[in-house]
Amino acid sequence: MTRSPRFGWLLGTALLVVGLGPGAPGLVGPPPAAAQAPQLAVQITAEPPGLDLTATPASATATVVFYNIQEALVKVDAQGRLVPWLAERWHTTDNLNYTFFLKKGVRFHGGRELTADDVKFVLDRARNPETKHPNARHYEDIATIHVRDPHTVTIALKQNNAMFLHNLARQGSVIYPREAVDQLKAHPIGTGPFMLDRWDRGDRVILKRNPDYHVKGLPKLDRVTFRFIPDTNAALAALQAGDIDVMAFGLGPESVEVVRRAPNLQVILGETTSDVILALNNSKKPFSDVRVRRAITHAIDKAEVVKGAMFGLGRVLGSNVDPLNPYFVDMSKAVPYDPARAKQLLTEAGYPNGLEAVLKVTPQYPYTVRTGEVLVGQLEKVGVRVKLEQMEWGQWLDRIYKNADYDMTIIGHAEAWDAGNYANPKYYYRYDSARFQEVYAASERTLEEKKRRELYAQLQKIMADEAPVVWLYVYPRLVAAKKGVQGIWKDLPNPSLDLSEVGWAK
Amino acid sequence: MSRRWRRALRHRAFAGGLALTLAIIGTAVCSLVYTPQDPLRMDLAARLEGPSAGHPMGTDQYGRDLLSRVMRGAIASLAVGAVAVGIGLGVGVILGAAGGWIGGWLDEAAMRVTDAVYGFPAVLSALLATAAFGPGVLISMIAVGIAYVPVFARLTRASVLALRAQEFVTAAQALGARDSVILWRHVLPNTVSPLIVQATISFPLAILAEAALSYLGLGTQPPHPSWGLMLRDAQNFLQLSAWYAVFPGAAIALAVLGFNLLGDGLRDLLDPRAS
Amino acid sequence: MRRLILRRAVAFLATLFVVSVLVFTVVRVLPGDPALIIMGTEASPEAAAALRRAMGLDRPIPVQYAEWLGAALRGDLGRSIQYDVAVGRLIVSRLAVTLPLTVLAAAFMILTAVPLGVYAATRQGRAGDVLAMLLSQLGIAIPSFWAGLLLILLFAVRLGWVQAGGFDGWTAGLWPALRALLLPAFALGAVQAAVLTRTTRAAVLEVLRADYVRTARAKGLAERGVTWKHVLRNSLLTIVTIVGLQLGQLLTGSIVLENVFYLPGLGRLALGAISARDLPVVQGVVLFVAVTVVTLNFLVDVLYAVLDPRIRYE
Repeated sequence: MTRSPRFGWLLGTALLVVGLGPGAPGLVGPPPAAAQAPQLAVQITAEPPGLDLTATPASATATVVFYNIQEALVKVDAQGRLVPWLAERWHTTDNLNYTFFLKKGVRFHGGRELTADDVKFVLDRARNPETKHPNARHYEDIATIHVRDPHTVTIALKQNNAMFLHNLARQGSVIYPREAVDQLKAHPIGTGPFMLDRWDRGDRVILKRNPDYHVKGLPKLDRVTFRFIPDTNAALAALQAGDIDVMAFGLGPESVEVVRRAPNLQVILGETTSDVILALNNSKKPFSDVRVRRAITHAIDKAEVVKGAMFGLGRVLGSNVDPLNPYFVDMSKAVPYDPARAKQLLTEAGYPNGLEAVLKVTPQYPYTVRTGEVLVGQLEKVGVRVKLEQMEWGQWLDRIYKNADYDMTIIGHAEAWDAGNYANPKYYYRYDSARFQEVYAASERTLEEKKRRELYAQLQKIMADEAPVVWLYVYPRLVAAKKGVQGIWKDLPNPSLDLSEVGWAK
Repeated sequence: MSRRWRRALRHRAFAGGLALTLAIIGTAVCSLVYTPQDPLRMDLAARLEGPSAGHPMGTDQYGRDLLSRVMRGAIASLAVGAVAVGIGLGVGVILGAAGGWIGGWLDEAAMRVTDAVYGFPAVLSALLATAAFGPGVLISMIAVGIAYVPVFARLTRASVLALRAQEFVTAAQALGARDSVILWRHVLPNTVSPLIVQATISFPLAILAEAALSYLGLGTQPPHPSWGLMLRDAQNFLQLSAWYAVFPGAAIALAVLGFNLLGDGLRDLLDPRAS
Repeated sequence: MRRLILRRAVAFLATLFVVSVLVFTVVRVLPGDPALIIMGTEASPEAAAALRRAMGLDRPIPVQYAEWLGAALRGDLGRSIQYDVAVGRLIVSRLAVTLPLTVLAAAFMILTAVPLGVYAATRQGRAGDVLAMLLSQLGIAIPSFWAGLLLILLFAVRLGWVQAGGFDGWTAGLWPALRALLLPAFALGAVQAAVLTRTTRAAVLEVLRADYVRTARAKGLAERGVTWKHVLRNSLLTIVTIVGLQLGQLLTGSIVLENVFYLPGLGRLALGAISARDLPVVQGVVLFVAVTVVTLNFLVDVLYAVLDPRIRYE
């Protein structure tokens, strides 16, 4: 692999990972010598709807809990690599039976040591339909879990699953003590660098240092306060006034210049796995016609969209596989900006006079409104007359996500490895392509690296050809922080905000 | 020109308010047929510019001409006021007149409902309405209009109650005129002046409510211009291009000022004691 | 007068009943499956359905209303879906912010508007009056969220005198807590202060025209004595009435401003609950606000009856 290390995902290739050993970054960190009080106030835009990672996939919950309060057997690190974590190593000979060796001396907050029984309990519970785990499908290939000794556990799979280790690294796979299962929502306990101190509903969550953290020398902070500030202007003013130290997700692209100019602030720009798309309802006329969908793709000048809506920040995208993915192929030129071709396709499809559609966006995510405004202007030029409508996030989830009651909508999909959504005809795109589903199923069962890469290349080609949605751009990672705050991940290969190594410069 | 008009135009508040209001209505009407540029046309090369000859009010974040957008935005603000006040006035007058005239059980019921509705102030009811029916300027303005019903109903009822006992009404009844005719011909015309004054007070409040709802993302829908929406967008760019915020803000302030002055003037002029 | 108050009280109770029906109906019309929202985007339909059953959302609406009202009368407003905390407790904890904010705003409003209004009335038509009226027009014409933002930029970002927003709780000390509420209270009170200035001015002018003031002047009382002793006392009735009604306005005005200053108050609770479809909280807060406003109205009515010598019976 000649890519830069940032893109060096090694997942799906268990053998390679096994050889890595406990490659935890920052193991030999500098001694904690904080002149400043080692505290950090972080703005997040939304309040978590509960702190139970096994009950909600909400990104706000992951931001607070994942990697900070609770951790999993395997971790996706800042470079996007899959590294051993609570399991210090594992091995498999047949890709069906995985034996995990737990790191010794890992203690739950203020309590006992983590054992293999906890791992068995957590995974059994996750795959039990009664639990209503939001992503039970991630564990459905598990056949049995066998505890060998307090630090060794073997998981047997029903069939090959190339995503197995990756699934164990997801936020829904965090390990908690079995006796604390009932307090996950309000007071989660874990092995993380911080423990929950207080949650003032509607205002803030406060974490305090875990003195027994299993990585020596970490965390660097004594106290972390997450404050819920939905208004980006209010958050920026709070940062400028010194009330908060970090804007983790709320910085608008238009404010990057303002932050850059401020002498006491810094901007962190990076990549994420959040693909911003113009979703089309494939089950509805005229979007059931691939010519119309391709015409709309041709009609959109994505570079102009990024310029207009994102102030030039963000990478133009051509399929649902994002650049942080090791199998990424640049498809952004596959269906290029070409208004003449768009008009021609519309005429062929029986719409010589263009067509009308409603585009729904949600003010909860301002980029959707802005992107929508730019798209309306571009589509108008090829005769696609679009009416923009804002709707509340709650309604969006209900009407569009759940019932696919829409023509077009704009949203960012934050999950990594989410091409599977296009293989699900019930997903709100209502994209039903036998060809895609077949290749995707094959990719899930294929462990051989080269073959898998080929299958992923095929998937991306099919996506670009059939244009079920229009992939617009990758949402950039935009963090604003006080100067002196160090250790924040530059890229965001998963929806987390790992603060274990974050601290203040001397 | 009649004597009353001359007297009215000498009233400074009234004349000033009338001039401002007419100017805004004029701008709105004019923007239907003419704006210097297409208010929806984007030009990313010229975004967030200050005032210049080409763009007297500068441009917004997509390079749209702000003068054209402020002009077109007048329509939204006027429509907003008209819908909200229209509903408040229409429903309020019917409820108040019916309650005041017929009295008894109907009056009680009407007053209890209006009292209860009064407990849902405009922004709160608009929030609930947009949550129920989706954001849209029409929905939120209907909600604001409903929040205005109680005050119009009470005003009408009070006037009707006061008038019902007066001689000319009793005389009309003695002459055998039907209730509906009396109400329509004799009573309602005499309630008009407090209602007009209240309408000019409610109108600018509706404009402000639209701005507040747009700030929360629940008012006018982009890309169509409304002053409230422009102000909300502008605050994102306050530290980059302060100009952007000045003109929509001034437009709101002038419109509110115009209607308030008009209302003040009308109150003075229609007040029988102040001649 | 006792009969009048009794009649008012009966009407008040009837109004409260209508309020409860309205609150329940409006909230139940809200679309959006709360179960799905709790579970998030990746939830399976079966899981959402189970949650709906657990929350009692599948029973007939009248049954849900009767149970809700019965519990509400016992002071039980249900549990927040989002927080899993009793709604009543949630409201009380948010009032720790909203109530002081409203009181501060009201104090600011009264302390500036009443003197300014009286001053303007005594200077009717002169420069002081014109200036005061101009100020009050401006106060009404500027949207409060916009004023709030400008205040933050000036006092917090530029000058650094106060924090940009947020509230660290009363445990942080009385002064820091009050300081955190100063800007929002100012932004919130300004609009209503403008309204009150105008009302006060009008009320005072009204009294100034009345006969007994002329008499007092004729008796040779100094102008200042006339203003304060006779005029203010007699215009107090109108002022108190308006202030009572404005308290309700301040309460709802805080919905927008708590968002600008990210204060953990009732307004933000309501907004958050609406977008999270946290129905018990939406119901609880809306009911609380509506009942408060209606109660304030009732009290103003009663106070009016007590204060005004002309209203003895109807």
